[in-house]
Amino acid sequence: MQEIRYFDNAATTIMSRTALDVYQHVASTYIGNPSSLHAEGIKAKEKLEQSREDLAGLLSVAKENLTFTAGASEANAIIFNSLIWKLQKPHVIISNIEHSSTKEYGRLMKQLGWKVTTLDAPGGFIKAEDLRRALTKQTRLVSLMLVNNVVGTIQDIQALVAEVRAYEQEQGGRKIHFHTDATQAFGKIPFSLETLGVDSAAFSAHKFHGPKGVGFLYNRDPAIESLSRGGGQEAGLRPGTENLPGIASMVEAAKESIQKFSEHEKRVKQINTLLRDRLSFLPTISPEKACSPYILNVATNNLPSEVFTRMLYDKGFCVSSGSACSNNAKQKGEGVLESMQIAPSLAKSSIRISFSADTTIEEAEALAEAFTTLIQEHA
Amino acid sequence: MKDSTLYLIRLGEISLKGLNRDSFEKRLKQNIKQKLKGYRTQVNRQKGRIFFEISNECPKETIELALGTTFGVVGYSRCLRCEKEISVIRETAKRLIAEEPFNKGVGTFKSIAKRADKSFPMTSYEIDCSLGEVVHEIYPEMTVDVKHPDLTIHCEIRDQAYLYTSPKPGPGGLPVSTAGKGMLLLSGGIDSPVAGYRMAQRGLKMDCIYFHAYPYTSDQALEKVKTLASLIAPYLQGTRLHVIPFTEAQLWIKQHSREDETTLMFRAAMMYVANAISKSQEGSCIVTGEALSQVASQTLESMAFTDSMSEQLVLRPLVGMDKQEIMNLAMKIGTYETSILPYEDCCVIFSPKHPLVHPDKSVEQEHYRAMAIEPLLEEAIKNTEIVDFGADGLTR
Repeated sequence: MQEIRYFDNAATTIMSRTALDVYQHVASTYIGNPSSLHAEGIKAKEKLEQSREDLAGLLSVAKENLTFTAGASEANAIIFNSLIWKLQKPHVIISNIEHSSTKEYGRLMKQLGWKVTTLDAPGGFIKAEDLRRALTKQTRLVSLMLVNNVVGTIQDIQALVAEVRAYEQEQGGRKIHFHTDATQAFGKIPFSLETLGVDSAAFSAHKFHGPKGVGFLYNRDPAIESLSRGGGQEAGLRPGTENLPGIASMVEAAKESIQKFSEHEKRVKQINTLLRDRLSFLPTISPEKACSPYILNVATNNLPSEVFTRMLYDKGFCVSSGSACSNNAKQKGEGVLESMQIAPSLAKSSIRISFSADTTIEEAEALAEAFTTLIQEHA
Repeated sequence: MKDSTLYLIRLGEISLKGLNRDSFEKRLKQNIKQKLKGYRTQVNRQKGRIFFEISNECPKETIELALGTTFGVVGYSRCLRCEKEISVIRETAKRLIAEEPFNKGVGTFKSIAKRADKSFPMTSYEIDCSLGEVVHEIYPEMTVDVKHPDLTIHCEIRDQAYLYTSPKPGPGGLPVSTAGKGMLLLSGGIDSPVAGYRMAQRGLKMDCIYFHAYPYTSDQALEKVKTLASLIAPYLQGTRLHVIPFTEAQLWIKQHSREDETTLMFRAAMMYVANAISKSQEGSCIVTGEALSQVASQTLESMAFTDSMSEQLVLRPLVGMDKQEIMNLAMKIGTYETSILPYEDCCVIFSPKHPLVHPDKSVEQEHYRAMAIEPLLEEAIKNTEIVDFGADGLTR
């Protein structure tokens, strides 16, 4: 069987050995339901709260502000769903480069009669002045992502939050909730939730070598209320029996990511630079500055991305295509690139290469080689 | 036949045939038997009807598939047979209406009697009255409606009396393989499976051909075409799908032809391959899902050009149909949901932005010849992958 070389870590990462061990251990050792009153239940509850405390420590936030969820999509959903309770239908601001779990809510809000402003992001960056102009007296929620999943651009969330706070003050202090989808940020770029100043943020474990189907919401806004109803778990924000093995395993993966952050970052930057250099004959869509080193988006400018993705897979490389081959099957990536004002020929041929700490120089060299050969063959 | 159920099959157009009617009926019988393979059956042909006794071991779904997808069947129903004596007929009718769909005992009904045997002492009207009375006795709430009844009870006086209720519709048409053999160009879109259905309805036996341009078109696109072939296979009495590796040919055309005429050149190359394969499979025509003016390659001039590139007769059963009509038919035969899956049969890289809409036939013929693509096409034909689908839709 052909060796697979994995360059699609922005889609999902491979679970770390330690996280997998923790998953198995917790699944077989902590047999109780954290809500049960017997000793096994209490033991499970303690493990759950210990995990929350450990994660809070890693992020330097209060553990009360962390809610375990089934992933970032659900964490985003809790914030948006919370607004559906509001009797009036005010104003929401999102951007055009958000993940579909946010963009689809924008569409839903519009259907429900809310006003929704979708900010463009020329070159992959949301401009503070655009946000400022979009704010109105009716604005109740701003949701802008920290690291873009298609090209890797990092938004200056701190500055964007500052705009919102300044506006709040001007308007006499009425609260505007600022949410960020930080899925592609954890363990990949340095950030502090406190410094960013956001009210809430969403995360997924499988993007940092944890298990799939688990994530968490950071939220310090007491007004956020769940649309789901159930047994009151996670302070009522996310009812349902907690996925304890998944949560413990995620926290283990988070620890590894944070502890080895600098080491990983150094290695990935080196690989990123190497590939930028080796693929310099192609237009690069990911900017050099203010961009996650874990994502590199390039355009072949020739072959539709879907086709090139298949060609690379035939040589054993997993990458993602930013767009679909056919005209009537537009995929999300293309819309994001369009909003970044990337030329259509580049957007249609864009390839997202995404790394992890496990990516090796040899693999990167081989990928560059495959790109070069394929482009030569099919130019 | 013991432990069996009798089915009455109504024939439509076949009944109008003259001296060759026998061969049509025989073929229909064979086609149904093909789908009931492995189960005991006994067949009795009578004017305008075929009676099939099918072993009770045969699952209901298999019988429904066999009778509901075989062209030549206009309608069918489970049937009870009895002595030609009115008291016996009445008793048999009681047993019949104790079952579905009469057993709910509500709504309107009509009795439809027919006498092939005119020596029977009662007229059709008298039989109807007698059976109406039986229904009334058992289901007093049911009323007669002779124009738009909810349910019908039928009685046919032949060698014996045959009774049945509300027949299910069959697909009509003529039995497959009574009109020769052809090659269907199956693309993965909405139209071509419908075209195959329409030609099979006129009795044409067909193989299918698909042009696969991996990696420009995905393997999911190929899987989709295989699914479509399996969905139409029961109507086609089984089919053979020929998958032609077409990447090299498409790249050659892209490099050696003017951008605006690439689609025409693809069509010409496809015709060459389809003709060769059809001939090797003893076929004598090509079937396509083209509809006039649907896309650039389906204008009068474009179709005239592709026709001129085919030795075999090109049949386009959808040529005058509206897109919505085609879609409705695709939904009816169950191919629509698969056809609209987003795996395209042709990558944008091969679709010209401004294709030639009114080509000159002789100019394009000349351009096609100048490309000298035939050795590549012969190579593609050699590397054809074959997938066989049985009349049950399953791969063989």
